[in-house]
Amino acid sequence: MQNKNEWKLKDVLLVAILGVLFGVVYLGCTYAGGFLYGLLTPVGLASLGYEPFYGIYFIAGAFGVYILRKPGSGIIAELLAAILECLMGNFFGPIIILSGIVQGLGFELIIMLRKYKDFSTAVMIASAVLCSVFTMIYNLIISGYNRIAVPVLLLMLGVRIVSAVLFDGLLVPALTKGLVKAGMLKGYAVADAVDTDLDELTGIA
Amino acid sequence: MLEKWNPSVKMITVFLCVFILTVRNNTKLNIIVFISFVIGMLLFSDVKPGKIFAFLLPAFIAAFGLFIMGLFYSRNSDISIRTIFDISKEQLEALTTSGNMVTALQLATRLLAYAGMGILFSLTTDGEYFVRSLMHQLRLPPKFAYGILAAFYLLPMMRNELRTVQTAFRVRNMSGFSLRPKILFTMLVNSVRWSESVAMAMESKGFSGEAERTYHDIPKLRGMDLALAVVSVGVVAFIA
Repeated sequence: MQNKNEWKLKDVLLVAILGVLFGVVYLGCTYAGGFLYGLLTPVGLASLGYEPFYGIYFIAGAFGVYILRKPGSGIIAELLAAILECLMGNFFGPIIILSGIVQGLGFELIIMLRKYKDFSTAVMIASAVLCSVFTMIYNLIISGYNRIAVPVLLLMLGVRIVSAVLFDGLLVPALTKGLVKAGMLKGYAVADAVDTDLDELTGIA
Repeated sequence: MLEKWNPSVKMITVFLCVFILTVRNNTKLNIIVFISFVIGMLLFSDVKPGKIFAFLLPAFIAAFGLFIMGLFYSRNSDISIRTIFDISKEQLEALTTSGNMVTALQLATRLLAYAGMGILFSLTTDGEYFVRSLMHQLRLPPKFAYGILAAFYLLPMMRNELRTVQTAFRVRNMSGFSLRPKILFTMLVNSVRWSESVAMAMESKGFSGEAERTYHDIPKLRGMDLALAVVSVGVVAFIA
């Protein structure tokens, strides 16, 4: 079983294609985000406009680690998604790659501490929260948010956490379990785990 | 020509400049960096000015939003304003001379400086050349490099597919909003299928993912690449 942690070509492609997919989905949201941003600019809260969509930033890493369940899968998934986003053209260019590493690490840390064995709802929600906090610390340093009033930052962090928990803590496991039930993820670590859960539920095991 | 600048070196240069700008936190420096990167792009690349403008516009909008945020909600500020529509004359005077103004300018110009560098990278770097350079200069394994490229070239197909799925929902009088779990699920099913068939296609053509393979063209690292990096980082680190 020594090659369980090795990346197969189809793992790489799955993660990369999910990165592209959410890049495309995200583009659809930038209109909504841009609208909110414009709406909030006169009241000085422009940056808050993008916070509801932060969960989608983290989604590639969340899917990667939840499906593949091997060391580094969250960080690598997020890194691939960031490189792809950079290829698609963006005014932040390669800086996206820096944020990608922070996001992947933030999401994977708790799962890593649980040795890639515990993917319960509590762990996924905790990962989503930690990822939000990590990226906020990154913003404090890189975006200069350390000069912004604390209540405003807390408001932004709050919205970011809600978004991350909804998309990454709850939606990602739900959609993945749906895929497993549809028989789409045979051969992936998540399929074995979810099948055992289902067996236990129905009492077949 | 900036197009020929080795992408890995270019990327690391951008990272180093980001760190330096973050540490120095100097409004004047930010503006100088922003302007020189844009001018550099106009003079030493084939990028059309219109394209630069198209990328700059959202950056300016973002910078303006951040500017107002810094102006109204700086830390330790004693000025309380709710919207730009009800700023009185006295407040405006107080604002422009206060620390809030300093913070606001720092935040907005830093974002512009980052954007200047990001746009320079995005517009002067060929995607495939970038990924091949990551493989040869930064040791990205071929499995990942070619995986990224395969996924990247699926982009137009994926866009079409998303549009088709959205239309299919709309004709049934259901919302075609891209974040609907039902739409996401359909797209996920497609993605898993694509990843499997593309992997199979690549392997059946003899792709093994091993590093010991032949390459038709290896991005090289020349003295010019490093010299340009040293000059850029040096200027950002020591100017003003």
